[in-house]
Amino acid sequence: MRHSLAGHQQGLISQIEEPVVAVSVSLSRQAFARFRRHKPALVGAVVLLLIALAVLVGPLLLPYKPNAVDLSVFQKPPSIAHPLGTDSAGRDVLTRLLAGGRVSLAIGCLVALISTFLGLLLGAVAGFYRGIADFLTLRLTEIILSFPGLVAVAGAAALFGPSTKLLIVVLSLFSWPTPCLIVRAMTLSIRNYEYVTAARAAGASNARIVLFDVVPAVLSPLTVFATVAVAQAILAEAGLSFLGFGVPPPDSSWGNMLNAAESIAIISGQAWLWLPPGLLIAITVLSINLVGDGLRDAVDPRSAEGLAGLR
Amino acid sequence: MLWVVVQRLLVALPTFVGITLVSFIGIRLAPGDPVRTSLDPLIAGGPDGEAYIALRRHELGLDQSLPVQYLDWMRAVLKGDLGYSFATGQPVSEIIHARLGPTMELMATALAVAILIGVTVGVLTAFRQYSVFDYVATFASLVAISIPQFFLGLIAIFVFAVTLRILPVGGMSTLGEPPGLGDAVAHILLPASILGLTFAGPFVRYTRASVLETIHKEYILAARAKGLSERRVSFRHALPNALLPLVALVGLQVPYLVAGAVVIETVFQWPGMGQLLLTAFQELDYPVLSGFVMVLALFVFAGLLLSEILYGVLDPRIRRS
Repeated sequence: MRHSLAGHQQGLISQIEEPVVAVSVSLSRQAFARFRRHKPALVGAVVLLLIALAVLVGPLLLPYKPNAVDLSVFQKPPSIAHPLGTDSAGRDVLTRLLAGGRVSLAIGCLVALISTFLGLLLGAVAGFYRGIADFLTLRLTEIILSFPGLVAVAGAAALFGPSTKLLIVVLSLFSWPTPCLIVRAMTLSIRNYEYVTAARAAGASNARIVLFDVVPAVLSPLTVFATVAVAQAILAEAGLSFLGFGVPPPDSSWGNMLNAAESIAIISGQAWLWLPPGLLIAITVLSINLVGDGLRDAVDPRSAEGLAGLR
Repeated sequence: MLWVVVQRLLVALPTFVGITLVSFIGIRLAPGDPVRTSLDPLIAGGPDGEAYIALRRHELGLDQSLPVQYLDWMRAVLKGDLGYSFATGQPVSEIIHARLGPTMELMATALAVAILIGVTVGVLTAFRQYSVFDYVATFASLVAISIPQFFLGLIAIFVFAVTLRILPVGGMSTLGEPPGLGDAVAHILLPASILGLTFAGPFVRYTRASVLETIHKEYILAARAKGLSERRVSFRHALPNALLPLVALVGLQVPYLVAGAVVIETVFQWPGMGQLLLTAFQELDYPVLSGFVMVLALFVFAGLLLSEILYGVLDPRIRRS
């Protein structure tokens, strides 16, 4: 492994040194090569794949249903029949952990997708039409960015009743400002470029210019944002479900499994109920953040020197 | 400088009004009726139930249209009157005042922990770039922002309060014992260090990046070239410039700090704003919620403004522009 990687680096360097081949190394391939050399990011990606696989396939292989109550075995410590024990309703913790992972990961991915798309849309509109649209969008991002999103989502859940759909919607509503500001800045600078003027002269619509000129330009920062957004959304889901404002029971998520650990008796005596979901959240989020760091270094070589921002 | 402050306040004003307006209307548009929620079902279901509910709604001003309610509220707020809690009848300002102290105490201690650890570790990693310490610390700071705060809190309770029995499980003081400094420190130690540790992560990353950027600048090379000692180059030339942007970062962290405090207060039963907020949501206590949101927004804006002013004081370039 080590050898082949070193060999790969060697190959890359010799490629760059030979002028004829260097021309053929495209930007995206260079970025991919940088990502592959970022070992922590590779480890993160592999761990993520394994977790995704376990979460997708696991519940199909296990003999229990995640919500099946079995009062004959309630609060049992880990055993061969129940590798991670059972909870206060006799449900198998491992099964619930894997099924809950589906929910947590789905929330993370959906929030990242929706907020990126919303940000792209609003950022492009603000950047293109400027004036009042720009002013309103900027004020809106300011309001949202200066308000603790977690508190607002907790509020929405308390007022409207907790539901997974609401959680996804409200989390997305609180995550779009960052991609919006990225896209807006890029649109503002791109709209004055001559090739955009040329495209416009040739009859290209605003939608077409956004799709073919703006989107490619913001694709790499948006990818990095979306990756980190998945991690942030998983953390937010966990915190909210822990407070009782997230995914409502009986369905499990990593966050609401931790909700069970609100009494000292469970914290001290039944660690199998709260340690596994907490550890899985931490490992998943850490892996995503590692991949995010790797992506950042890959699309922005400057950041490999540590110049990138935070969070 | 004064002009900059005035300018910032003018820009912040519409945003501030926006936050109060959106939250005021959002809270009241939600399903559920605060009068019915807090009412004894026997009275509500009784013969005069509906009439009583209508009377109570009128008393609380809930039968007015939303814009009128908002304007009434805003007018009262400008006179310093935040209204009365639906649930307890206490003045909202009193309720919030009682909770503000503990939360401020927790947030300030946590912020101090975060800055102390974050900046120290960040500077050390930058001066020893690519050392083992650098890798370990950089990884640790990534771990710190990846672990849910409340999970870290549960682990800390498990280790220090349940297993080792050296620190209390939660609360602000031991019941039935005279208040003392030692007792207070023992109670704040876990919540504040956990909140602080998770916030040290961003500070480490940012400090490291900023110091690295600075020590590759040409004026550092020039300082070395004229024969200054490495210590003088670091402490007189590099660090002051590198740490300056951190002042702005502190302000930006305030919203996250508030959110973190809400969660940590729940884990450690800290009697602050977080717990107040959660009960107010459940009871649909509109005046408390609106007052709370306003105080939160004030917090955030004060944080941003303070860090901006401080930045201007420390950096003459900003002050003059």
